[in-house]
Amino acid sequence: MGLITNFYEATAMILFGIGFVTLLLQKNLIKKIIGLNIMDSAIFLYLATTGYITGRGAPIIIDGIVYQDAYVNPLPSALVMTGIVVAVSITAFALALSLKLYEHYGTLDMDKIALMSRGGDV
Amino acid sequence: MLPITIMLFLLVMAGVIASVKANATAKMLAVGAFAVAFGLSAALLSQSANETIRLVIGAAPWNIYVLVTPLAAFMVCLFVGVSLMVVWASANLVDYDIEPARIPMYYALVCVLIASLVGVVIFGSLFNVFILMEVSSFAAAGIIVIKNRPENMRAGLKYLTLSILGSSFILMGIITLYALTGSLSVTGIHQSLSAGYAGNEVAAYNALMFITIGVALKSGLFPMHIAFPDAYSIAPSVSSALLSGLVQKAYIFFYIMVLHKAFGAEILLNDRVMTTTLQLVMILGAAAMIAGSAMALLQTDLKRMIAYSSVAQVGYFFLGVGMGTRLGLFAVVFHFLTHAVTKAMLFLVAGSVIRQTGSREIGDMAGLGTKMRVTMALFTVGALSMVGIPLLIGFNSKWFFAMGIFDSSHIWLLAVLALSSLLNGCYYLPVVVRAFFGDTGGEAVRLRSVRECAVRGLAPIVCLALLVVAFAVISGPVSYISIGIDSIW
Repeated sequence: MGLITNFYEATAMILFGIGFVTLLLQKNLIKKIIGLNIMDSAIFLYLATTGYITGRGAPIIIDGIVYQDAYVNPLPSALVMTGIVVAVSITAFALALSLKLYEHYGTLDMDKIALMSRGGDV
Repeated sequence: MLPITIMLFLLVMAGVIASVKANATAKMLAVGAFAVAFGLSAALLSQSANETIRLVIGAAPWNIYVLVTPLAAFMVCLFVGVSLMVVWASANLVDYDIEPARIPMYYALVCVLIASLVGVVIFGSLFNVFILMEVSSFAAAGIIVIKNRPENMRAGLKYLTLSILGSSFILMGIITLYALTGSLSVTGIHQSLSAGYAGNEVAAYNALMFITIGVALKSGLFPMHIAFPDAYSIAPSVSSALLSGLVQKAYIFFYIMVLHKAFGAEILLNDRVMTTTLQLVMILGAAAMIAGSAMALLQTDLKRMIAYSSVAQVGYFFLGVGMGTRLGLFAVVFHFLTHAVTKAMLFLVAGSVIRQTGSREIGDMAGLGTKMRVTMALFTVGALSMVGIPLLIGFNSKWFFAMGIFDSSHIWLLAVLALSSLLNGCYYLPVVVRAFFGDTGGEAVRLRSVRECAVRGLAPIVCLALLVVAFAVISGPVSYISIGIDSIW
C-alpha cells in the first residue's frame, strides 16, 4: 500500500474531487457539465485500474482454449465501456437541456436563471 | 424467465407505443401493457412466495444473474400495479399537461421507466443494477421535461444532475466492493466478505459510505433533497405520481439489498463503524421527517406541498433502514406500499383539481368541496391516511414504525414520529377544511364554472382509495412482507 504504488487510484480520487467541486461550485451550466465529465473520467480510471492485473492478457479466446488464469476478467472493462456510453448520453441530454434554457433566458448562469424565473416572466 | 420477461415486455411495448401515431391508441396500448405486466408480476409474486428465484444466464463468471427474493417480487408487483393505476388515470390528465404530439413518446418513457425500476429490483448483479439505475434517471428526467417549458427544463436539469451525481457515488461504491471481493453479484460479495472480512474493513467502510451518499442523493434524503420539490411540483401530475410514488423506492430497495444481502446482518450490526453509519442515516431520516413537514407547512402551491411531504416520507424510509432491526425494515417495506398508493393518489387528485380549476394555489380551493365532491373526498382519504388515522393504510405504517422504535434502543424517535404525524395533520387538514367549509366569498363566481371530473378519470383514483382502505384491514401484505424480510435477513 502507499501513494506511490497506488498512484492510479490516488489520481482517480483527486480527479473525482476536482470534478465534484466543479459541478457544485460553478455557476455556468457548461462548466458544470465539464465537471460531471471529469468526475466520470475519474471513475473510469479507477475502474480500469481495479480491473487490470499485471501480466495477464485480454480475454480473447482463440481455438477454444480457455486458461482463466491467463486473462483479466473482462467485466471491469465492460463496465467502463458501458459507463462511457452512459456518460456520453448524459452529456448530450444535459447539453440539450442547457440549450433550451439558453434559448429562453439568454444566459447559462444558473443563479441568473433562478432569479429570472422567480421574477415571474414564465 | 418470468422476471426478465416482465422487464423486456415493457421495453418492447415502449418501442411499440413510441411508433404509434394516434394518441388514443397509445393510451390504450399503455394501459394494456401495464395490465399484462401486472398479470405477469402477480404470477411472479405467487411463484416466489416461498422461495427465492435464482436464475443464471450464461456461464460463470461472465453471466447475467437474476435474484428475485419474495421481497423483490413484492416490489415488482407494487411498481407495476401502481403504475397501472396511474397510467389508467393519466388517460384523462395528460392532455391538459402535455402537447398532443408528444403523448406517445410520453407513454414510451413511462414504460422504459417502470421497466428499469423492475430491473433494478430483480437483478442480483450490481453491474446490471447500476446500468438500469442510469436508465431510470434518464427516463425520470425525460418525463419531467416532456412539458416543453423553461421551468421544466430547469427542474429536469437539476434532477438529472443530482441523480447522476448519486449514480457516480454508487458506481464508486460498487467498484470498491468489486476491488475488495472480485465479484459483482450480491451473493458473491456476501460470501467473500464473510469469509475474509478481517483486515479489509476500511475498503468496506468506503464502499458503504459511497453507496450511502449515492442513495441519499438519488432518493432525496433531507439535506440533499433540493432538486425534488421542484421536480415533483413542476412535472406533469402523472409524472409526479410516478416519480414520488415509485422511483425513490427502487433506490432505497437497492440500499437495503446492499446492506442486508451483500454485507449481511452479521457484519453490518457487529461492526462499530457500520452501526455508526446506520445511526447517522437514521438521524438524517428523523431530521427529514421534521424538516420536510415543516417546509410543507410554508407552501401555498398544492403540488409543492405534497412534494415536500414526500421529502418527509423519504425520512421515514431512512429512519427504518437506519434502525437496523428486523421490525424497522418491515416497517420500511410496508411504508413502501403505503406511500406508493397514497402519494400516487394525492398527486392524481392534485392533477385533477388543477385540470378542472386551472389553479394550483391552496388559497383558491375554498369551497371546492361543494363542486368537486368526489375528488375532494378522495383527497380527504389520502390526507387522513398520510396523517395516520386508523382504518387507513397510513395508520398501519405508523404503527409498525412505532413497534420498530420500541424494539430498538432509541425511544426518543417516538417523539419524532408523533411530531411528524402532527405536522402532517397541520398542513393536510387545512386544505380539506378549506375545500369543504371554506368561505367562498368572491370566489363563488369563479367556482361556478368548475365541474367534477369525468367518471373515467375518477375511477382509477377511487380504486387507489379502495386499496388505501383494503390494505389497512386485510393481512395479506403483512404476512407477505414478513416472508420477504425473512428471505433477506
